[in-house]
Amino acid sequence: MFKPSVISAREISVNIGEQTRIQTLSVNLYAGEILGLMGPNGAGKTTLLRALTGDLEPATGLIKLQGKALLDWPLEARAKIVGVMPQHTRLDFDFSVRDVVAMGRAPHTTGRIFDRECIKQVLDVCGLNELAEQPYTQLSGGEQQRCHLARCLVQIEQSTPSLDGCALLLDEPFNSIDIGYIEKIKCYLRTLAQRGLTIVISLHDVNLLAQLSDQILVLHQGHCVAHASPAEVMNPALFTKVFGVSVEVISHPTSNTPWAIPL
Amino acid sequence: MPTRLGSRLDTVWITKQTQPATLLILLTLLLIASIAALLTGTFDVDINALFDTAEPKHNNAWIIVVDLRLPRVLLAGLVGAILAIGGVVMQALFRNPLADPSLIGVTAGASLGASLAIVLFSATGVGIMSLTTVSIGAFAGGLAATYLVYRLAKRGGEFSVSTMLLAGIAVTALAGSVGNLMDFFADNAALRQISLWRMGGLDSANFERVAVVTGPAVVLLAAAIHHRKALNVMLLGDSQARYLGINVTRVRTGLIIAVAIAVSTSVAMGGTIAFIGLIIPHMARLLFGPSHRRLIPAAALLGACLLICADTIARTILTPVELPAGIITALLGVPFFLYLLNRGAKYV
Repeated sequence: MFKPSVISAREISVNIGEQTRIQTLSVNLYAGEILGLMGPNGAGKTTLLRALTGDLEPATGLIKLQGKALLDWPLEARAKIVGVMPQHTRLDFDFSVRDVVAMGRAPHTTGRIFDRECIKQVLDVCGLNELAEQPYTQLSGGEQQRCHLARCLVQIEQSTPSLDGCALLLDEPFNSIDIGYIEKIKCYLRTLAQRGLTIVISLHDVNLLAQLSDQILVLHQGHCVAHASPAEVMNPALFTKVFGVSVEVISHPTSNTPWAIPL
Repeated sequence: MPTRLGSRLDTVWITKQTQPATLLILLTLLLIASIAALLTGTFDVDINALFDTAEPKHNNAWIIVVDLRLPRVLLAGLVGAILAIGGVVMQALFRNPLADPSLIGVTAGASLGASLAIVLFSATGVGIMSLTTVSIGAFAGGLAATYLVYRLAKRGGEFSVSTMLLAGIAVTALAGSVGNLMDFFADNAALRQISLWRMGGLDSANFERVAVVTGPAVVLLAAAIHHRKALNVMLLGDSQARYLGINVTRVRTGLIIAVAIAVSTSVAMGGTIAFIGLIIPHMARLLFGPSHRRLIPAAALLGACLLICADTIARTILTPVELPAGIITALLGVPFFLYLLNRGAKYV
């Protein structure tokens, strides 16, 4: 059966200044798919994500969202179906955590009662219930990060159970978040994907990425060097080539996902 | 976490539920301040004389209150509200709690425009609708400076808030030094007029001037309220606001134009009035928190209230001499500003 892609990038090259950071890369993302972006620092993970969000216009090639050129989408319509979490967010004003999370509902017109329910749910997922009325500026780094993640999670929530056609783009979302919260958020991302949400996520923790992703795209100096399932991608040869380290890949005791241990 | 809770209570004094009631209280305060301002002055008016036609002083009282003080109170309220809303909007656009309307060069440009008008035309000529050449010069100067700053910040198609900040500083400095040059060549009479104008004063208020200020004030208030959600989201940064569906360029351009026109008009009518654009947004934020939904009306009410009080103090404290209102706002504003700075790193 033909399945239309939610986001498709066809032979895109992306420049920052004079430098080409992504070279003729093609990728198709389908409903319910979680794509992990792997690669060393500066490989182009963030650049690719920023191109997929429409922040950077590709010098060549075309990105489509639901079959329509990404840059032709009105911002407000796009914000209803695509949530983006950049690596850093600065906010110097004393909003409460709940207010910051509620900003994720800004593009929607689903009504106050529905929005409140959504906000309650993501606050719970991100472990922010107790902090909901705290001023944002007094949170720790990890708490602030969870707050922004909750804001992005609440943004893609729809009034229908199906999230087909919606996408969430996450750039290092787990920075300074500790392992207990990551587990819970990871499960939630999985349920979102089961509801049809497309997720693109970049993580520097390769093992976490292998656990979470259906497909992994490996970037090296702006080129796509592999795009396959975690089991195929996670092999010692690739780690030597891309990261310059020798690893042994073992199997996770319960989930059976590949687990790379540096030697 | 008791410490955190404590600081939260310290930050916002009133809860969300009581915010509408607090706005009503502010509105009442504004009305009380206005009535008090109408009745006090060099010549205190008895409220009975005002409405008792049989009273011999009735006509005099009526002329003083309605023809002389009413336009002045209205003008003070409008100018105060414009400067306060302008401050709220600028702080949001620059994502910096220490921004104020003068950052986009509008005040310095208007100052220079006024100086030029005083020196070149001796400020005797009366222009359209009782607007003096000084007012017209100030208005034109403010708009020109803002336009220049905006063009500089938009060089190469990409708008940058930090470039705008630097361009604003540069244009302000340039306008300042050209203004000094004017001072140097001005004769004594003109020099005194320039420096009085710079201190800000509402003594030339009349109903035509009130009418001229009302339009831009209403437009600015409407634009700010219309974009209240966008202003909140834009505090997260330009790209984040775009991810949340805000057309950042359009919102920003529209608001900068509204602020530039309104502040230029207010400076043209009331001279440069210090500190309202900086401290009123802070006061409003202390009371209502950072969300623009309540911040904008609160700042408008507080700004109007403060300038009406300051102007009343200015014209009564040394009767029969009238001080420029700008001196009083700075005297009231600076201690409060230092208190804010002292409160800790939160605002800086």
